[in-house]
Amino acid sequence: MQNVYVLGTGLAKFGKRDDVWLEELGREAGEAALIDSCLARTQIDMAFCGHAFGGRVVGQRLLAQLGLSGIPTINVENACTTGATAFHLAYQAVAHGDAELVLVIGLDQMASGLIDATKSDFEGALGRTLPGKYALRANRYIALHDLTVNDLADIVVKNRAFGAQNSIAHFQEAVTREEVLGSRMIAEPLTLFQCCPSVDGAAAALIGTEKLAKQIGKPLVKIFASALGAGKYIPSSEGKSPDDELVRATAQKAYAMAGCGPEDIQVAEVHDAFSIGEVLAYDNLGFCKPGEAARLIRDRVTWLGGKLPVSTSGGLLSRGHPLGATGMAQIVEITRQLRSESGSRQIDPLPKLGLAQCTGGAIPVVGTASCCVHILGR
Amino acid sequence: METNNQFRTPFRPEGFDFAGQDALQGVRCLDCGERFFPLRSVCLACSGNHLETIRVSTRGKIYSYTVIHRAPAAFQTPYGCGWVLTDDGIKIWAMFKAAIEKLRVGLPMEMTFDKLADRTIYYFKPTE
Repeated sequence: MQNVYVLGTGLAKFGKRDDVWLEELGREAGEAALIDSCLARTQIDMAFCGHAFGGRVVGQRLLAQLGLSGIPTINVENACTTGATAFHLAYQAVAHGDAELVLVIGLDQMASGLIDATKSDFEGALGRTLPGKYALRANRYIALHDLTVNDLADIVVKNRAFGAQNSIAHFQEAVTREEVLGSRMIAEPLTLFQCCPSVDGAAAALIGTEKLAKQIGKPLVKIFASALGAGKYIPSSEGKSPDDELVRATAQKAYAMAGCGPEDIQVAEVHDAFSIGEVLAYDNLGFCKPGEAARLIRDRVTWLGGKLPVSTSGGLLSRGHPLGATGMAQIVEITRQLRSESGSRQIDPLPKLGLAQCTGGAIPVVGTASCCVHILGR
Repeated sequence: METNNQFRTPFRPEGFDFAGQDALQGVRCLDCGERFFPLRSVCLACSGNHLETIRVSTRGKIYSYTVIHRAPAAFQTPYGCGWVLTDDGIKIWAMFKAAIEKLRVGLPMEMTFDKLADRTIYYFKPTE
């Protein structure tokens, strides 16, 4: 296995982007990553493109926009972990020595509002929505542990304050707890501002070998762990949530791979598709003792200036959530934090290890379909 | 060899109708004992393919709940819904027939059947 490094990152502006075709949106992010890496595009020898709504061969279509053809390209879909899964596969290609320089792009253009349930999904046919599922998880956590609706609102306050400092985020205004709780109810206890917006966006990275990393003369950002998990059926009688257990298992795999623990992580991007998603991530990633996630938000541990700032990009709650782009946008944020490129939201002192986590898909009886945890460091 | 093809057709969301029923049909794995709803031909717990049909318990407790205010056009909002853990250990998604302010984790519930648009579906309501 070879060491694998992030060599360049690029983002397109997130938001309503019907000014461009999907390929052009991807090209914006890809060009930015190429400029950032200072590498020649002709050195790319493999590409992975993550998109959930893009149709056929988006990867090859956008490579053509970048003036590239003849590059083996794999298009990837894994619901909300689509981008992170593409990154995982790209990591494996370099780690196994199949490629020296790989371009990874995650992107989507999404209709606004609720994402439809799959046709075979009987829970969806009986009124389950995605915000509804997270709302159930919120009410269960509130019933079993110490968590209030004010804590949930404060996650949004924190992330929107970060988003206000991120020029590519969809929402760039800070909000108050009162505004969050006073916004329209979607699925109790989740109000509109606690649900990520469905927007368009693209994020890209170039990753490659140690030899290339040393050539470009930028701070080295190494991929210490790349873990992919899939939802596993857990007998209901055990009382455990398969959604939580999936993240716990994937995180354990990542920590083992990186040779570190949750106490070593100094910055994280997590799956805050809904306010409760970030709370559950604290717990399942081991950032707190089981059931004590609210403490991290109340004690401002995860705010800027705390010991472990989370969602410094503004998260999905500010950036918006194009399914294919999200996982890659998380990787871009962590890389830039490790390279001290994050401007007014830069963590000080410079973090050594950062983590990105996302989860995707809802399957009746089984639970969440997929989870990715990546650990990057310098 | 028994292959359980009789359980191959699962719950078809586009054509479901529970008219005339007073309980749901599920399956029990003969190898590991795990119970499931809806019908399936291979066990999700042990991957065994020896299953028998069972009548799913009509009683259980709320595992978690929500009240949905924003839903696809086919649903009249707001409505209570969530997962009920039945007395025989199956976690079932359902819409609720209940005063929404009464909903809480652990509330005892029982199954009932009623219309959703032009079809009959199962619901859970608080056990009185």
